[in-house]
Amino acid sequence: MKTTGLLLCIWLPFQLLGNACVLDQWQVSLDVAYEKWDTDEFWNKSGKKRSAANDFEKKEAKALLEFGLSRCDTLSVRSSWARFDESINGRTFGFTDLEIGWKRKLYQKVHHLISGQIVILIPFESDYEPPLRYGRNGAEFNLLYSSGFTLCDHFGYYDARLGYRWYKGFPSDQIRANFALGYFVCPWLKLVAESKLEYGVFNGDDRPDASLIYLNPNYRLLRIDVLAELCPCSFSSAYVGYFRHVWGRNVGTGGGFVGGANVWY
Amino acid sequence: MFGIKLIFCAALVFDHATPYFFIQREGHYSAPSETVTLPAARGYIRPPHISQEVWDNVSLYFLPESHPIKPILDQIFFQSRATASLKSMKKAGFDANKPMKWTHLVVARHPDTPEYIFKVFLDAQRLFKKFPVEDLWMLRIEGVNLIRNELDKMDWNHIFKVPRKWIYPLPANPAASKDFVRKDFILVEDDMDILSKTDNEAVWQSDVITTDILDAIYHLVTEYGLYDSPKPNNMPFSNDGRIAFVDTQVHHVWPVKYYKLTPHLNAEMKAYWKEITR
Repeated sequence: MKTTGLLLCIWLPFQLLGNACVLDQWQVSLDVAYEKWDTDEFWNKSGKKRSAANDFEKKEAKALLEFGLSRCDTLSVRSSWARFDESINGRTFGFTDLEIGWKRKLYQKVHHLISGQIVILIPFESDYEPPLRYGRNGAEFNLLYSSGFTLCDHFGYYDARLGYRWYKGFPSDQIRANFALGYFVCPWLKLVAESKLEYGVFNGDDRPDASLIYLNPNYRLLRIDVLAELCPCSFSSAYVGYFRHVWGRNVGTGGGFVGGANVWY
Repeated sequence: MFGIKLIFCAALVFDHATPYFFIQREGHYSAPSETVTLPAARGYIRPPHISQEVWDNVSLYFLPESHPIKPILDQIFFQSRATASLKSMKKAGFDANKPMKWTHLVVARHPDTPEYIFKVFLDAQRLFKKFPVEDLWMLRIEGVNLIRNELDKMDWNHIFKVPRKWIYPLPANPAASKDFVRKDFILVEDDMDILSKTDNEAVWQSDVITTDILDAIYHLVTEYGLYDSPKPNNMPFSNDGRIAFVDTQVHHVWPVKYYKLTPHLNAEMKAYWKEITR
């Protein structure tokens, strides 16, 4: 069983596995996704749910481009364009801040993989544009772990991320942690459940122009995603899913839908 | 010697509120020039969270305490935090529109004050462009005063009109929700009784617009850098036939966007406007 799992891990493209995986040298991967979320409530600083008196909707188109610099190093660029419609704060749209990353495989043994990652945050513009972007430089350091397993002759994996994000200026630093569980119910269909924690340490500056719902300088958010990913061939996949904000501080509640596609060569 | 008898007119006791009273002296009756019966008018009291400096600056633009609608506003805003949200505005009796697209401010009317309109930023809104709301209101009042002075000087009050504008300070209590960004001042202005958007556009396209009117508009917007004024929705016609300057926040900003008026004129006036703004 374990051998089967290991063989599957070697055979399957990395994109179908955990986040600690790196690309092969010269390999390129592109992931594009669309996400929609709406709410009219938020958790305040004390975690109490309140009406925002504001109908809030976010639509975001995201892209992640990765490039295998070597067998151990992968570069990435993450960007997105988002549009926010608020009944009392009008419409805001544009590019979010850019994230440029470098991931390095640190340790691999059997079906365990550990990687480290550095992400540099580059503001698209230097002005704070709530709720679109902070407009501040920053950096993030992540430790990533992925592991494969087999269950009922099907391959699965789980991975975890623990990181710290630092911002220059008013936004609070954040502890970031993810945990994901993926399972192939059949060779072409994977189910994924993922929790994403963005835990602000609340060392940021409160601002009267901040959004109550998204990208507040001091916020905390726990989000759960459940996805179904189709893997029809060895170089592409498509996914669709639902996510929900399950806990937070100074952030909106509610949930939404996400869909996307991944190609690599 | 005069005795003094204090008479409280329908006083409602709130924190920091000074009941308004008549001072009646035996043998003499002294009363303010505009007598208020019910509800009682209240003097302006600085809420503790507003600095003296801000209060002193903004108080120059306050709605006069003797203004006839002041007691009505006092009754509305001392009873509930009407400006918390659109829902609370409506509950307080306001006919409030959704926030304006570009400025995000809420324009509202109240049946008890039919000749006035109110411009409000809700507590539930985040601060727009980082400016304290009182700064925006003061800019608008200063803009309108500039135009008014020029209209008087040029004797153009038969062509144009501007509203009177004042600031009304919201009381400390009822307080805003701690989760929201409290706004302490609203803008009160004369209702210019403007035409509907469709009717206004039609008048701007018509022969009502003459070269004299365009010359006057050119003079006003150029002289005072009324950057964003040259467009029909910022210079709407009113039912009395005059053009009202209603958006006076931006002034002394050049170059003026003359081109914004061009599409709304008829062919002849379009050519003239292009000529004089070249």
